[in-house]
Amino acid sequence: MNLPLLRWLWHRSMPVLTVAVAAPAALLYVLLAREPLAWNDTAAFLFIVVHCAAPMIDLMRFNRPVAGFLYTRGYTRDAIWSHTLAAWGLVVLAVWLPAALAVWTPLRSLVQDRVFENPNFPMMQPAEAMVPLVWLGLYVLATAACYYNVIRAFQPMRGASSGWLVRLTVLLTALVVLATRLQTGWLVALLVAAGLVASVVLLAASRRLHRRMEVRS
Amino acid sequence: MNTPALHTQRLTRLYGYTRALDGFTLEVLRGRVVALLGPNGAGKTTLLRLLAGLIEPTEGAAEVLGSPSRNPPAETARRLAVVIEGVEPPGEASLSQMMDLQAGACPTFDRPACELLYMQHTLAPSQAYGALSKGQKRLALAGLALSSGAELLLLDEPADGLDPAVRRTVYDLLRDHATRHEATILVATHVIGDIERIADDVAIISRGRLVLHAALEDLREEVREVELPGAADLPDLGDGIAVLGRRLEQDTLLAWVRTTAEAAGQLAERLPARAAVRPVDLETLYLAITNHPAAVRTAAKED
Amino acid sequence: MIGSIVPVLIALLCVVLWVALRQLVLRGRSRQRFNPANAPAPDWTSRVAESVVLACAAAVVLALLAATPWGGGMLANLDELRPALANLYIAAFAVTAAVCAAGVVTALLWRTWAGAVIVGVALLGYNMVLEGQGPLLVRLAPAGANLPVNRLVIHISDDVARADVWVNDVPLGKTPIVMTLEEFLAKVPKWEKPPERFDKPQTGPGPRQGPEWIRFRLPSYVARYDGMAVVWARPEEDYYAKAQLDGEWAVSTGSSGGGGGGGRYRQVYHVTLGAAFAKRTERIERLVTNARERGPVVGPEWVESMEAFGPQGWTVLRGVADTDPKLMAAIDAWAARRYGLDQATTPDAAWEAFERILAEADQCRAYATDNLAGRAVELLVPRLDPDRLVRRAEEILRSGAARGDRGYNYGQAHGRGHFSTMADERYGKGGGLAPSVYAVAHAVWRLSESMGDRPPNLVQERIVPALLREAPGDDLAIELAICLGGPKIERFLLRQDWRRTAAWPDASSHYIVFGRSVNKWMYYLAQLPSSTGRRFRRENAAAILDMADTLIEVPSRLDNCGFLFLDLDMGKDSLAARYWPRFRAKAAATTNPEPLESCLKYLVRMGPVATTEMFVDVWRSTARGPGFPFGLNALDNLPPARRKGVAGALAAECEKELQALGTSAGDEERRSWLVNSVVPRLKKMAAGGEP
Repeated sequence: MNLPLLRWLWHRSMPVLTVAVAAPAALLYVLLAREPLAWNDTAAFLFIVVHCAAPMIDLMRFNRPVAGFLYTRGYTRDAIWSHTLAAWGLVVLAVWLPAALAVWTPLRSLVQDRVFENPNFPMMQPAEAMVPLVWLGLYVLATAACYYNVIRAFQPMRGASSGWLVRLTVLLTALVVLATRLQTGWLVALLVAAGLVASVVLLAASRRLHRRMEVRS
Repeated sequence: MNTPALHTQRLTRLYGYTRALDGFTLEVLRGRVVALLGPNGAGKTTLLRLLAGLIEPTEGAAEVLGSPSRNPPAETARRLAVVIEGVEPPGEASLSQMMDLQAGACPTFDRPACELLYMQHTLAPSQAYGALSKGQKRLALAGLALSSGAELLLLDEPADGLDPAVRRTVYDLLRDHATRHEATILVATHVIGDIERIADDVAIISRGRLVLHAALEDLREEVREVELPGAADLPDLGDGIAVLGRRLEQDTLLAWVRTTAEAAGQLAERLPARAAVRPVDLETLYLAITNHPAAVRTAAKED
Repeated sequence: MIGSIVPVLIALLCVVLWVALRQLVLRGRSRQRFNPANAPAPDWTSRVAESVVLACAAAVVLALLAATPWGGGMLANLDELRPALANLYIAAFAVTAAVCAAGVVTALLWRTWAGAVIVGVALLGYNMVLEGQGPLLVRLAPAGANLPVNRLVIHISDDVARADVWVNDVPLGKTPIVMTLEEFLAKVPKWEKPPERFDKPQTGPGPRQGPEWIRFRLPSYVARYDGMAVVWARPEEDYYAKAQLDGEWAVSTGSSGGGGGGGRYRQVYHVTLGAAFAKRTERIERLVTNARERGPVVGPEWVESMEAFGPQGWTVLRGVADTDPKLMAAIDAWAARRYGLDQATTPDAAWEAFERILAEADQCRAYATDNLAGRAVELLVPRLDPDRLVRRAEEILRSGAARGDRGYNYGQAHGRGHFSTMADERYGKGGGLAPSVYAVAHAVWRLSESMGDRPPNLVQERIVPALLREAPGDDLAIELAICLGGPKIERFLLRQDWRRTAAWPDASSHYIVFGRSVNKWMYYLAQLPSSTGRRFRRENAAAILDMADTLIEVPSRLDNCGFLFLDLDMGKDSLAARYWPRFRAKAAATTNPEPLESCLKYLVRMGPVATTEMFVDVWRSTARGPGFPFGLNALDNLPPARRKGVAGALAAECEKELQALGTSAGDEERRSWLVNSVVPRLKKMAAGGEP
C-alpha cells in the first residue's frame, strides 16, 4: 500500500463531506430512527446511492486537470485503480462503521429504550444485526457500478454511455427488490449471489478497462 | 549504442473527424534535448499526452524508454516526468502534498532539492497550489519534474508565465538536468530564444505532421533562404537538396532549402545568377515552414 | 406489482431523461468530439461485464416475478393449478427467460443498450400478463383451465377410516374419500327424491339405530373463476350415502355437515357423514369400561385394541375422560406406552421422546393439543430442559415462520393455549407451518404456565421478545405474546401510543373489534390479567369505559369487553360496577336480545359485586311476558348457593306482584304468565334443582 498515494486520494474523496456530513448523518439516522431498521430501508438505500454517486464522480472526473496530474506522477494504472478503491473504501468505512457499531453495540438500543422509550427496544436489537451487513453489501455493489460507469465512460471506444446503463440497471433492480420487500430464504440467497457476481465482475472489468482509460483533462 | 528514449511510429490521433496527429513518426535518442515547435493546434499537446499515456492513439504506436507509452510498467513510469498544459493538481493541494505524492512514485525524488528550488523563489511547502500565480504554478510543476530524477521529461511550455530571470533559471536547470542525468527532454515551446538556449534538436510540427527534425547546428549550416526575383517556382535543384518551404511575393519567389555541405555548391550551380542565397535564422525558418510548407514532405533528421 | 412501484417508475423515468439529456446535450457532444469518429467497438471486457450484470439483474427480477406471490408467476405453487394452466405459466416463464437470454447474448455480441431494451421489454411484458385480478395469462388459458381445483373430501364422524362408502348407490371407495368435485358430479347421478326406506330404520327402533341412509349436502357455495374474479355458485343438492366397515353398516346420526374454502386456485370442501357404527362403538365403550374397572394401569393389549379403532377410539375415550380420573390415567398410560414416556426419565431421554412426537406429527401431517400426542407433550413438558425447549422455539421464530401464515386459531389463542393443525393436502394445505411447530408451541405454552408469573419465566423473557421481533407489527403475534404475558410484553404495550384516538387509515393503532374501531393498545392493556393491567384499568378507568361504550354497540357485544369483569374484588369501584348503569341503559333500548336476558347475564358476570337487590331491580324493570322467560337461563351460570338466593328473591318478588295484580285482561295475562312460566322455574331454582 502506497501511503502517499492513498493519502492523496483520500483528500480528493471529499473527506470533509464524509466526516462532517455523511458520517454524522448516518449515525444520527441509526440512533434516532424509531421504526426497527429493515434491510429494505428506503432512506438508507437513497443515502447510499447518493453518497456513492457524489464523491466518486468527483474522485473520478477524468476530464479535469487534477486527474491528469495524478496519472502523470509515475504511478501505474493498476496502482491508481487499487488505491482509488482503497480510498473510497476508507470513506465508506468512515460512514458505515460508526452506524454499524451503533447497531451492533447496545448504543442504538439504549438510546431508543432510555431516551425515546421506544416500545420495540431493546428487544429488536438482535433483529437489526444483519441490517448493517446489507448496507455494506449495497455499498459494495453501488461502488462497483459507479466505478465501472465512470471508467467505462472514458474508454477510447464506442458505447461510452453503456456504463451509465449498467448503473441504471443495478439501480432499477435494487428498487424492484426494495419494492417487493420479500425475505424468502432462497430469494435472499439469489440476491446475495447476484450482487456478489455483479460486484466482482464490475470491479474486475473496471480494473482491466482502467488500463486503457483516457484522461482527458 | 545510443538507443532511442522515445519513438513514435506513424502516430495518428483523431478527435471526431479532426486529425490532431497524422502519421507522426519521430525518434529521439537518449540524452538529447528536443524542442517541439509548432503553431497553436498543430498537435504538440496531443503528442505529449500520447507519450505520457493519458490518451490512446487512433493508429500507430509510441514507445518511451523502451516500453509502450500506454500503461508502462512501474520502473518505466517512475522514470518519466511530465508537465503538460491542462494537467495540474487540485487547488487545495499544498506543495508539500504534491511532493509527497511525487516521492511516493519515484524513489529517486530529491525532495530537499525541490524544496530548495521552491524556497529560492519564495514558495512555501504549505502553500496551496491554487493560491499561486500562473508563473509560480509553472515553477512548482517544473520543480517536481526536475527533482524527480527522471530520464525522460515531457514538458509543455515549462516556463510559460515566468519572468525572464526565472525563465532563465528553469532552462538552466533543464540543461543541467539533461547533462547530469543524461536525461532526454522533449519540450514544447513557442519561444525561439529558449530553444536556442537549451535544445540540441528541433522538431517542427504542423497540422499533425512532423515537418522537420534536425539538430540545431545542422540547421544553421544546412538551411538557406533563396530569393529568386521574377520566378514562380524553383528550378530543379537535384538530389540532396530538399525544399522546406516557399512563398511567392508579387513576382519574387522566396524559398527555404536544406542542403548538405556536399550539395552546397550544387545549389549555386542550379540557381540563376539573379538568385540570392543567405543563411536563415530559426524563427524565419519556422514561420516559413509552418506558413508556407513545400508540397513535398521533408526528410527526417539524418543520423 | 406495477401498481406498487409506480412512483418508483416515475422517478426512474426522470433519471433516464436526465441521463439522456446529460449524454446528448451536456456532455455527449464533447465526448463524441473527443473520441475518434472511427473509434473501435467495445472490447470483450466491457461486453462480458455488462452482459453479466444484465444477466444478474434479469435473473433477480425474473425470479421475483415468477416465483413469489407478489409477482404472480405461480412457479412456486404449480401444484395448486390445473395442469393446463400450470403449463401456461411454465411456458410464459420459459419464453421470458429465453428472450432475456437473447437480450444478454445481444449485449455480449452487439450492443449493451440493445440487450437491455430486449430484457426490459421481456420482463415488463411478463409482468403485464401476470398482473391484476384477472391476469391476461389466465384469460388466455384453455376453457376450464383457469377454474379452481375443487377438491371434495368425504369423512365419517369421528374420522373413521377405511369404511366403504356408497353415494346414490355408486361406490366411491374407502374413507377418507378424496376426489375432485368434477369427478364426483360425473360419477354420482342425482336423485330427484330420497330413496325408498330413507326415513325408516333398517335394524329396529332405538336411540342409536337410525336410518341406514345418510343424507348430506354438497357445500352450498363452490368457487368458480369467471375470467376476472372468483364467484360463488351452486345450488344445494342432497345426496344419500351408505357406509360399511368390517361387515357392519353405519346408521345415520342425522348430523351430517360440511364446509370448505381455499384460495384462488384450490378449494377443498369437506363433507362429514353423520354416521355411527353401533357395534363398533359398543366395542370401544367396553374397552373404556374395562379401563375404568381396571384402574389406571392398562396393559399393552388394551392399548393395541384402542389404537386399532383409530381416531374414533380416542374420541370416545376423551369424551368421557374429563370427569373420570381413572380414564385420564388410562389416557396417560396409553400416551406413555405409545411414546416411551416411562423411559424418559432424564432430560435427554425426555427430549428424544419429544422429538419422536414431533416427527410423528410431521409424518401424519396433523397435531392437536387434545389428541394423544398432545397429552404426551403435556406429560413430557415437566421433564424437558426448559432452556432447550425455549431455544428450539426461538429457532423456529428466527426461521421466518412467524412472518407467514401461522394458522393459529385466533379465538383460542386467548388463554386456552390450543394449537392444532392439519396440514394434509387432502384437507387443504393448512397454515403453512409444519405440524411439529404446533407441538413445540404447545409445549412452550405449558412451560410458561408452569413457570407462572414469578421471574424468571424463560418463555416470557425470551419467546415474547422473539415473537414481537420476528413478526413486527403483526397483531396475531402481539396477541400471542399478550397471552404469554410477562413484564416485557407489558412494557411493550405501555410504551405504545394508547391515548390516541385511532381511526382508519392509521394502521399503527387502529383496530377493529366486530366492526368497531378502537385504539388497539388500550384494548390490549385493558385486558391484561396481571397487576400491571389492574393498575392500568384503575388509572384510566374513564377512557376504558368510553372504549367499552364504543365496543358494546348492542348488549350482545358484551363478550368483546371481558376486561370489564376483571378486578371484581374492587367492588363498587370495579369497571363492571361503574359501567352497569350505561349497560343497563343500552339493554333497555334494545329488544334483541331482550333486556332481561342482557341485564341478567351482566349481573351474573359481576359475581359477588352484583347484589340480590340488583337482580330484583332488573326483574322489576325488564321482565315482560308473555313468552318463556329465556332470560332466566342466565341464572344457570350462578354458583348453586347464589342461584338459590337470587331465584328465591325473584320468586318472592313475583309473589308480591301477583298479590298486587287486578282482574283486568292485562293483569290476567300477566298473572297467567307469572304463574305458569316464571314462578315454577324460579321455585325450582330456589329449591336447588338442576338448571
